[in-house]
Amino acid sequence: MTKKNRNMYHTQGYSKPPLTEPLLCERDDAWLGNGYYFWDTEDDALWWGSTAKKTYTGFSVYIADIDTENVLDTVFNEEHYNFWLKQIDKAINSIYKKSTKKPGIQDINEYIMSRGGWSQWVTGIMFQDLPSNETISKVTGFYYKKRIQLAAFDLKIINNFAHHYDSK
Amino acid sequence: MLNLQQLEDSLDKALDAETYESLNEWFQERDKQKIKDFIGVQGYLSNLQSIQKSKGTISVEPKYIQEVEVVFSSFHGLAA
Repeated sequence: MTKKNRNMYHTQGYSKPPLTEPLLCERDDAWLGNGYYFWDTEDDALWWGSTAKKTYTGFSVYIADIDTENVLDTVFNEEHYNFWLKQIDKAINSIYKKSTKKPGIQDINEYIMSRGGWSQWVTGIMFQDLPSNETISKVTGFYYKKRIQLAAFDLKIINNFAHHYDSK
Repeated sequence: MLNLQQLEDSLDKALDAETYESLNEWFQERDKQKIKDFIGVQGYLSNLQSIQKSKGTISVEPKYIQEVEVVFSSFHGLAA
């Protein structure tokens, strides 16, 4: 079977020498929990560098081939998207009922991946992020371009990781 | 290729088996792990600062260490 590959972009603070592999994001507010985050377009990777990496002297963008064979594609695959919605709603409702804690983004995602057993099969999730990058949409308020991210959970699906661009 | 039915069955099994006690125990374990992680980060930054002082080669601004300590303190309170 032919592998499904997708060219994607990884943004980090400027580093010299450049990174040889992506950095794991472990922020509590990371949309899909701990993972290696990639942007679908170079425009979004550059936008993220200029907005979120201000504490660095600059930022670097890396490019890689992502093997999406076992990635849950909630952006372009309608079956995956409907499935994803159903599972998230189910998990949230169940956790609400059975816990005194109000679950956060990371709680839900970690629950599904680890407790729900998905980590043994799902190597990544592609999802549509908030489309708030006005500089890329040419018409203000008209979000016709999806802002797409991938959270990769397995380094093995990230191939040909290479330095692509520096902004200093 | 992902087997969606397999994923759904696996999640359903976990959710069905979950009790109030087991779920809250899981949350507590995660909080404990976060505290351990912050202790690790705090130690790492302190080490870097020590190296900076002795060798003058690595720059770690004190504000970053302070930020880590503030976050660490809040987690420490959470565990108490």
